[in-house]
Amino acid sequence: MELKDIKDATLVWGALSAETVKLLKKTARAVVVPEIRPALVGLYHNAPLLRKADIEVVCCCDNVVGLLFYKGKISKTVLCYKRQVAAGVVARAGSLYAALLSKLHKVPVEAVLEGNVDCQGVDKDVSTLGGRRLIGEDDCTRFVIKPDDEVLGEEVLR
Amino acid sequence: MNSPLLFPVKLDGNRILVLDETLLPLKEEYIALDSLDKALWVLSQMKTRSLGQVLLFFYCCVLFERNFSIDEISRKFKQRRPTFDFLFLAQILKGQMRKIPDIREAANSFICAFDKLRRKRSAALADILPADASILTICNVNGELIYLYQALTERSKRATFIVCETRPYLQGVRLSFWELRKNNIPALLICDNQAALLMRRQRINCVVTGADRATAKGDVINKVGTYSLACLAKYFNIPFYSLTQYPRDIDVETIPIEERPQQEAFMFLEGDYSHLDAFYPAFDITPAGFVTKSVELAGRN
Repeated sequence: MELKDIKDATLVWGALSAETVKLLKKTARAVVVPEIRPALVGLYHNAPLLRKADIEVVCCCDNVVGLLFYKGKISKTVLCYKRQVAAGVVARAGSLYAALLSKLHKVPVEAVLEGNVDCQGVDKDVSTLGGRRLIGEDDCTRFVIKPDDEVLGEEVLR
Repeated sequence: MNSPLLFPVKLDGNRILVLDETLLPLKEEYIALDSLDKALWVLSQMKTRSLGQVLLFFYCCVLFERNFSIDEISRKFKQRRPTFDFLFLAQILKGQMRKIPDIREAANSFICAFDKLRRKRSAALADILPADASILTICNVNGELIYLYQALTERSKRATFIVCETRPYLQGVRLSFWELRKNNIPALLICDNQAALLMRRQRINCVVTGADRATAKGDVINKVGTYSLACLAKYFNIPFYSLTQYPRDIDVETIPIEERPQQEAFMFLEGDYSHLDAFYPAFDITPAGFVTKSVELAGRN
């Protein structure tokens, strides 16, 4: 698939729930699924769920998100959060990246509750990819910034 | 301080040696080339990129000019990697040959001068970075971050590089992070999507990237993900610096953005992803309004 083939798509960030998949089935023309590093939740959780529901899915790397907004390819961002807090919502790593880029391009962000995703035993290390070691052993853990959950407030949710 | 990425392609008699960047850092291997076809294959397979493709182009002209004109070689290169300005590289080489008629000497002279200019460019950037720089970067600029660190140190400035892993080819982790750590330069690795949070937490006070293309107006084309960083940096009032060379007076939107085969979106992942649709544009456009300064090759800001 090429960029020109993507139009009026919905971008999904975070782990989808069955309820949100049902909603997307009714409303979304196509769904763009970034892989969502480090645990690759987009690739391993969202893409299979959407395909099972017979929704058109196209995958990409996380860093392509800005280009998609720049090119006007996304009409809505669905942000799946873990829980609500006084300041807004708590969502998985990278949510601010996706949601803020969405807002900066005037694309609405719809926050929904995340689905259950079993990340036990899933590789969440920045220096590896799906369990595959990418750099020398000495560098693997001491020199990474571990991804945290992120609090998203009014700056992206309104 | 050193890195094989400073000169990833070398001329060795009548053959070209190309550092296979797709194997780094776990293996440091060179591919020996003795034909233009093999050079084009290496190029299309991303075995080398950025400065490597410039060196590869020059050395192909040196070795194969008897059978192919410089313009013909540049067109063949451009067919493989359409975003990069190989046609302009051909003009540069021909211009150099007007001063030094021997093509081998002309190419070597240009490459030698180019490296000096890279050092000057790093020095010019070091002048404007903060005294305690926390530098976010993406992809790889072929050893120039090492030059930058040296220049910062000479100015008694401190620096830590925060390196985006740069999916899908992971040039950030496999090339930049590796060459920085190999030289004991402070560096931290992040996933591409962590950039916004670190900016909000004030862990980053400048962004430095390379540029595959640049326009006279100040627009930049670079590895996909660069635009996202520039956009977020502007929002968080963080300066964004681009290392550019040979800006052209053209409309950035007329430059073709190369889209790589969709399966490359899953590079370095184990398993079969052929059932999934994907797309992988290799570059994106960062408009001039997001670039605080283009630091040009001549060292002018």
